[in-house]
Amino acid sequence: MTAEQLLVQVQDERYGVPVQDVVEVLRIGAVTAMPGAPAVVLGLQNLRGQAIPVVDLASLLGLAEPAPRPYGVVVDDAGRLACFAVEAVLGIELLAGSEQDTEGKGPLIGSALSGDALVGLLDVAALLDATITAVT
Amino acid sequence: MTDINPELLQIFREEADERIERIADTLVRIEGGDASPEALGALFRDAHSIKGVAGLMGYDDVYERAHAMEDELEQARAAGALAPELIAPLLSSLDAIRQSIQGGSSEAVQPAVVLSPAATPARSRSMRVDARRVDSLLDTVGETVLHHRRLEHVLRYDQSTTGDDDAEDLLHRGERLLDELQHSVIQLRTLPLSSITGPYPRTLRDLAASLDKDVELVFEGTETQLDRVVLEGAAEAISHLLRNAVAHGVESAEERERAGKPRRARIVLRAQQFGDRVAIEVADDGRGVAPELLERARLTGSLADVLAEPGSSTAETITEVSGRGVGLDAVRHHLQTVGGELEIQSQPGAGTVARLLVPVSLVLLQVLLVECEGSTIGIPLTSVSEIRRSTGRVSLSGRPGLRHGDDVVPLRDLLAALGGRTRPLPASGPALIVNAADQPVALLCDRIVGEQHVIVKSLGPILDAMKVYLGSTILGDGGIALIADPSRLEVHDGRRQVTAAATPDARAPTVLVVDDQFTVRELQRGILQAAGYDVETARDGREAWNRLSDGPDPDLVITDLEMPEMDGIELVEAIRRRTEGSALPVIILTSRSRADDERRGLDAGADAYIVKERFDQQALIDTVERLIGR
Repeated sequence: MTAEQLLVQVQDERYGVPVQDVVEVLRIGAVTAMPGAPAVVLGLQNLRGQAIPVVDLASLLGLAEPAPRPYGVVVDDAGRLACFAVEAVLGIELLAGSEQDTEGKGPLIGSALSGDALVGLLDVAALLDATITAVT
Repeated sequence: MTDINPELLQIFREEADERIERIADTLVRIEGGDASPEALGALFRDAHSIKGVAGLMGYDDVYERAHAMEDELEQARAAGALAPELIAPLLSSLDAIRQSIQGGSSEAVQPAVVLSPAATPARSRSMRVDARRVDSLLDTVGETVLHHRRLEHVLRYDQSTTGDDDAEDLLHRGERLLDELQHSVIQLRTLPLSSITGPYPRTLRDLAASLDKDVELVFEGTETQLDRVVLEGAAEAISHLLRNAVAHGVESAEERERAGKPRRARIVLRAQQFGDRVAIEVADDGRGVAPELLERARLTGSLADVLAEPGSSTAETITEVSGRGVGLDAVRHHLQTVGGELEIQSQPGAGTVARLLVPVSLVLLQVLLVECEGSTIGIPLTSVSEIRRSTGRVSLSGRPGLRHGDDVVPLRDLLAALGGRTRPLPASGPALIVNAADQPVALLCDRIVGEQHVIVKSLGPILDAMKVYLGSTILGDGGIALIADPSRLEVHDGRRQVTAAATPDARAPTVLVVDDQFTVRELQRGILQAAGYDVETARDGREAWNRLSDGPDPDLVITDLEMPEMDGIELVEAIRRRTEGSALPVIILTSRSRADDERRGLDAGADAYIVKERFDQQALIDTVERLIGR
């Protein structure tokens, strides 16, 4: 499995989000907190007139430690729009990953090497499913 | 003027009628010496308005007459009085205006389309209704929809009707009827795009002439229907985009000729419906935007974003125009309030297309906007029965309540009612009496923002399970407000409700606060009472000890360390030495933060040690709750 991945950084870890699921990368602006929402949902952000959920990628991956996450990766999975908050966006790379955890159907579906660094490969649909589970 | 849309004409006639009647009435009152001092100003404005619209609609005779009236009235206004001998000529002039407008003296203003030979003229088939009445009807329908949802909720979760096919059928039928009703009311508010395009050909022709350009304006699909509110929101954006296209989009005739294009530029205003949205395009065949802006747009993903930045503009016009970016940004903000979007595409040399995507109709809801810890929350106004100060707090079977008329209603933090984190109830601040699912509740918030009509959009698939919200709305400043569903608010703290149900007359837990400083005692009393506790106080360890020996134990003790007579450590030791009730939880709350003090306190048998420097109301409440086990 070789695909273009958008490399992002959360909590000193690197992850790859398939470029085909990414709509845009932005600097997160004013986020409207949403009382009653689980911790993974940081709130809502106005993306050109549409209120989209801002999801803390770190806590979704179980890495939650409070840290500023100034960048947003807007993803679209069959009409499900969300913005993942990350610490940094590192760039786009073509990565050949090894599949693992194919049975788990978790958001982490494999890993790849980018230079010396190990990159966790993410599945956007599974990340959004996990968010929905957290909300429910 | 042959192009004038019959509906627009109808609106013009009705408006002019109203103004004519008002002018006549005022003139008569002036004659009778019964006019207010502002009457002359109002007369002038009415005449001025008739003149303005008549000019746009091509009623030249009305324009001339209204213009003459306006002149007379302006002088009268400046002089502060209207000469009595002018009243008769003004009235006859008014009659002439009325005749021109209503009499159809000009054949050109007859509707261009004859509906059917037998049809009576279009105007007799329409009924004029104040837009506010339609809005109020729509509000009521919206509220009925909410009511239906509540009913549905109750029936689905009621044991006796669960699985009852008749109930299900009735619910479905109700839902269908409400859909139809809502649809019909929304239809009442729709108008064709052409109802606002009337003045465009003229204003654009004038603008083009002033810039020495030759421009043809073409309308396509302007019969497309749109909600009146959407139309009003889009009108300004359309007019801005058309003016942009003339001023900056298209080239002068000479430049076009040099580029091998027809001398006359073409601007198309086109509307087309796609599902529940309408695309309104303003397309020009001008020079397009500069390649470097296109390149930036390719990187950031949106040309509209790039062009909305202050300082950017179409090619070669930067020196000519300043602030175009700001204008476009304002257009976009304006559009967002009606749920619209702006897209721009451009090809160098070939032209630019600006596309407004707006919803066909809106479900408008009138809400009260309030602030709560930085979030803006909207509550449907029909569910709010009162806004008041939160004074008059009482205890309602151990929980905070608020007097409301002869009743006492539960008092909750709006944040908690939405399922957010529990914070100590603010000591003051506005309270809303809201009709929640089964009873009124007083909700505390930080600040009232105001009433507003908003378009509620669903939260989308990811947050769909957050049923406490009907959706969200984009505010005029680009911020987001969450719209609460009053029927889903948590009126009671779930955990406490269980206790109350088990022992109906359950008393509130009592906390004994021991501190030698009055302000500290009262501060804690306020915090604890607001959180639903009964509070007793003692000024030192001795007084506290006497209290414990005399009466039934409280549920918890909070004590200072340093106190006269008997200090906190001695008090804890004394409590722990008792044979009965030695399990009474004790919290030490002190300004001392030395580690060995903390150890000493805990060694003596205290359950928790809170340093005042780190003092945080929430931490105190959490600790109390944890130790009492609620």
